[in-house]
Amino acid sequence: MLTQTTQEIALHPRGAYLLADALEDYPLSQDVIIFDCPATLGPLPLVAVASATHVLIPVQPQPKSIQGSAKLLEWIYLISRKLRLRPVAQILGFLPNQYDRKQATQRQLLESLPAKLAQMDLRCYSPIRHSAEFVNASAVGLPLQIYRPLHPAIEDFQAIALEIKALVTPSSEDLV
Amino acid sequence: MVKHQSVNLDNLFSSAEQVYQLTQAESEIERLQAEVNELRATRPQEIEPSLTELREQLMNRGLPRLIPLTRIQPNPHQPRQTFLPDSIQAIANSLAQEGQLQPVILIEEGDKFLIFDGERRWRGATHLGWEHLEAVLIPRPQALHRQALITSLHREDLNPLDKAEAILLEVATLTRITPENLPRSLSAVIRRLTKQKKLSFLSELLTVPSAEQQMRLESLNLNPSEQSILVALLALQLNPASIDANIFPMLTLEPDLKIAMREGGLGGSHALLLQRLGPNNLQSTPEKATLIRQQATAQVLSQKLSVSQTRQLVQDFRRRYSSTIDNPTTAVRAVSSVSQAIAELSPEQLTMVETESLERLAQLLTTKLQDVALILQDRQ
Repeated sequence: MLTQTTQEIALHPRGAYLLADALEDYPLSQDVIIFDCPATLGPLPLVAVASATHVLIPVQPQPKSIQGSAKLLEWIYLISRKLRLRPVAQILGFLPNQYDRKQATQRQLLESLPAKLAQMDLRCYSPIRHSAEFVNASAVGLPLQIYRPLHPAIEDFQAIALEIKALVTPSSEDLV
Repeated sequence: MVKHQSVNLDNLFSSAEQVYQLTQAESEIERLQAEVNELRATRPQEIEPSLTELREQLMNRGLPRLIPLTRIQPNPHQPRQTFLPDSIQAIANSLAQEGQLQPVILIEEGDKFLIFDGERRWRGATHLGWEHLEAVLIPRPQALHRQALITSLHREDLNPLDKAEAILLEVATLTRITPENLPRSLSAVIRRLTKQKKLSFLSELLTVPSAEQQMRLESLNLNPSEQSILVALLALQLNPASIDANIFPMLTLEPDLKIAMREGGLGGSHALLLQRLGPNNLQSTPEKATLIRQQATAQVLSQKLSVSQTRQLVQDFRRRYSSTIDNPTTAVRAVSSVSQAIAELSPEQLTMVETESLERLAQLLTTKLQDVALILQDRQ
């Protein structure tokens, strides 16, 4: 299904703009739409960037992940120019997840990441902790908030949720 | 701060940061360009501050270049302005007395430059018979990709084969020389400059502004295509000699080696060494040579051999498969032909040669004499 979509995007004359066109023709009533993108720089994230108002970059506090996210940033800047997006989707910032504070590397990365991102006017949100319950919850197809309503990791979402809520208060927005 | 910072965020983000800054600068330039156009139509007397700001932004991106007047054209997209002969004469006088104070602002279009600001100065300079004007350039939309290319060219983790192909494409586009001929022309000019002992002159050019690069290159008496190749490489901040020696040779690698580089992570220097395992050196058919080469490549990759280990391996393979290099008949023939050549060298001939060549000959003979002496000693 996704492979087929990818091929259609590549062949269609409006390729990268297909999703944006569809949302314009068939508006949704939701306040926030999240396009969960595969960790590639292929056609699927392309249509997402072309239709999004904001981009949030989830990242694991690990060197490989950070390296990939740096590539992603570079790609978003370039592709937004190339697609001549007006307006360009605003990058909200990085959201570290699966954070294990017992690991020194992760702690060090999270210490230095915010300053680095600030040089590009980007925010680094407070991290979502690592927990096996995320996997358990997704196995039964539920968000953690419903699967284990009292789980301590739920409070980690507070900051970013408020931020997004503030963004959509005046009008509706969508997110990648 | 931390004892062993294992991850260097500056490195990881360097390229993203550069692209970010470029995009910021471009949006700013676009905004100012629109502002100037708007002011031109509505309040022309207030244009100067915005123009100054735009000029500064452009100068942040790159030093002003000298552009030949013949390649500058009035911009047809600008509202046509009248230029009275008096006003041209006045600007010509000022240019003659004080020189050019401000770079003109041009838009690059193909191999021409359209005037965004400075038509009067351009006319004045033409009137004076000048050849160049100093200019800053408003980037075209594709310029960002070029800048991005430059950024990634200077990152070390780029595979030298990809680098070679990217550079070839960029230089071929800039110079309009076909990609097939380009490496050969570059090689020819580098060989010639080496012979004339002017190669260091070329690497010095890397650090001077581009206007001066062009003028200094002109003093080398190159043909136009050679000159344009060098200009293009220098503009990408690349050393032409090193591209010729280390990068472009990647383009001639056999297909199996290219695949091994792209998919197996074979290093560039390793690939160039393995390339020596060809039909000529191995005295075999091309098909057989490919098989032997693939066998050697697999060994280099699986045992993670270093460059010097690879060199050794390649030598071993050549020795194993070639009959000519070390067989007794060829050795006898080689020794006798050298002896004959040396015997035929007359003292008159020797006096006609430069000191340097004689020194080199003396050095060679001394070294060989030592080898011979050692072997003779062993036999006694």
